[in-house]
Amino acid sequence: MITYPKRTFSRRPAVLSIVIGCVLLSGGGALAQEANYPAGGPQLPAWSQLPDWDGLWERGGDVGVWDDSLPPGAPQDPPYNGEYLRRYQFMHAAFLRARAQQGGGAPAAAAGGGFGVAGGARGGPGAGAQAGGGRFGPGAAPAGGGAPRFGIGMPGFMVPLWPLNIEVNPHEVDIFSAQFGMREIYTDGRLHPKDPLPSAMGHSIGHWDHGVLLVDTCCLLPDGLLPGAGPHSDAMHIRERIWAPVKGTLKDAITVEDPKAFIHPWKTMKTYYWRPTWEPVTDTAQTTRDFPKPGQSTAVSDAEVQQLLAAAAKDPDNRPAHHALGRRLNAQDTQALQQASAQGIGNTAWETVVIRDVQITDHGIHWTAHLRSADWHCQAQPDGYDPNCVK
Amino acid sequence: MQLSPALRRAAVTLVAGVGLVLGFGAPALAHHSFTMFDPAHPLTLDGVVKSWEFANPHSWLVMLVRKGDGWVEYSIEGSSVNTLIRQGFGPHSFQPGDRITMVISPLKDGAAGGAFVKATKADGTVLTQSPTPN
Repeated sequence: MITYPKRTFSRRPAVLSIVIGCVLLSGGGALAQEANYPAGGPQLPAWSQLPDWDGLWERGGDVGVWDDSLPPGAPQDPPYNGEYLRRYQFMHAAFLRARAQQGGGAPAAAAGGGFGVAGGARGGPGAGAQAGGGRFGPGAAPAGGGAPRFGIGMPGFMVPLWPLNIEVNPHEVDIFSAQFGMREIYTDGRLHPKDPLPSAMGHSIGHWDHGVLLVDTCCLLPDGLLPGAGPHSDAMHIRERIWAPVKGTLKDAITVEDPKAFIHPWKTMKTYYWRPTWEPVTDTAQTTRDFPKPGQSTAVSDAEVQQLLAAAAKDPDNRPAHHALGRRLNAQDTQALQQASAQGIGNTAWETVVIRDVQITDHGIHWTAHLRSADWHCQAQPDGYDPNCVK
Repeated sequence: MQLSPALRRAAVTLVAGVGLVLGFGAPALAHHSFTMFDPAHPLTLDGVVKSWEFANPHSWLVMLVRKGDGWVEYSIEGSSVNTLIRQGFGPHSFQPGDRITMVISPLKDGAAGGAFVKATKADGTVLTQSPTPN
């Protein structure tokens, strides 16, 4: 270990400025947490001891699934004790009522699930948005209006829909999420705060052990939610073991302990795949468009249509270029078909796709893409371009 | 089940965030239940693109479809930018005036709209959207 006399990491002032700015905007009144270093101050690992994990990582496994080792349909609920199981069930019932009022349609369970971590094709608690057809989730608007008073934090942060952006330096491991914000895992030898300020993300400290990052997270808000929207207590504590078994693959063994709410630890193993050619998608165009209101006219004049067609005819080059076709695929091009499947399905790491039943014609290639919980019927042009998949 | 008022208030507040967690944190703006769509009865539409908004929280394709002697404007909602960008979509995937064939999961209330399932463009390009949330 090398001891550095002071931090020299240039992003620190910017991060501090943001934190201070947020405090000021929120009315101030509280100082930021201060690092709790042991005697001797920070103890940083050498750069040479750190793995190269920098870049975007795509989640493996099914969307919204906590434990991919469980078969589709198996309950994925946390191991609640009696008290917290009752709380969970009450929240579930309240959610179904709110959803029915909000959506004006059948509650989530009738649609095949939506409350609980996605477990596959089974409805009710333990089934999830994808499996049950909850395209847009169960609806995020608060039942009584207003914004939720907690953020999305650990451990759900590590089960994202979209890629995670990881940066490693001697001071900390930063994990950025387009959905959940930023998580910092301090690796400079500091301890948890003496007087912690609970948050949805908690306070994470870690240390390196031969390329393995061992993380301990405490200080989580008791009114945060677990993946699947279940409650937890203020005693929740999370331990992680993060490592790269091979270059380009990360594993995160997560153990969630909550002696007040669980009868035993809640564990999972998540896998992430490196995407070196991807760039983050963060703040982009926003829209407030919605469907027509009842009674709102959707009639359009023929003149408007003709105007659109005329404008298009005048600008024939204003089209995305069609990709040049390459060589034709064959049934042995497994990786190309896996990647085509992932593109056609969406939010799926290609490494998790199993290719079956490849059929090739003069006009294209057809195959079955098997995921943990479903078979997708895919087709593409002979070279794999323009893939599309349907269940 | 009998619960204290405090617990009831806490539960109602927690319900507010259920969507965020279940959707694994998707932006809350304009989110709504999938129960408003009918995926069991897909609808195929032939028409002309009026606009394509490649935006968050969800993309929108507006197309004009002939109905009787006139035309009807259909609003078709799709996934988010972060999802679609990995599926081959972009801000110029559709241009006003494009002739397309769309498959949608129609709104259950019969209004002119639905969820994006599959688009086939005049040049044969097919774009499908992830049925996963967001």
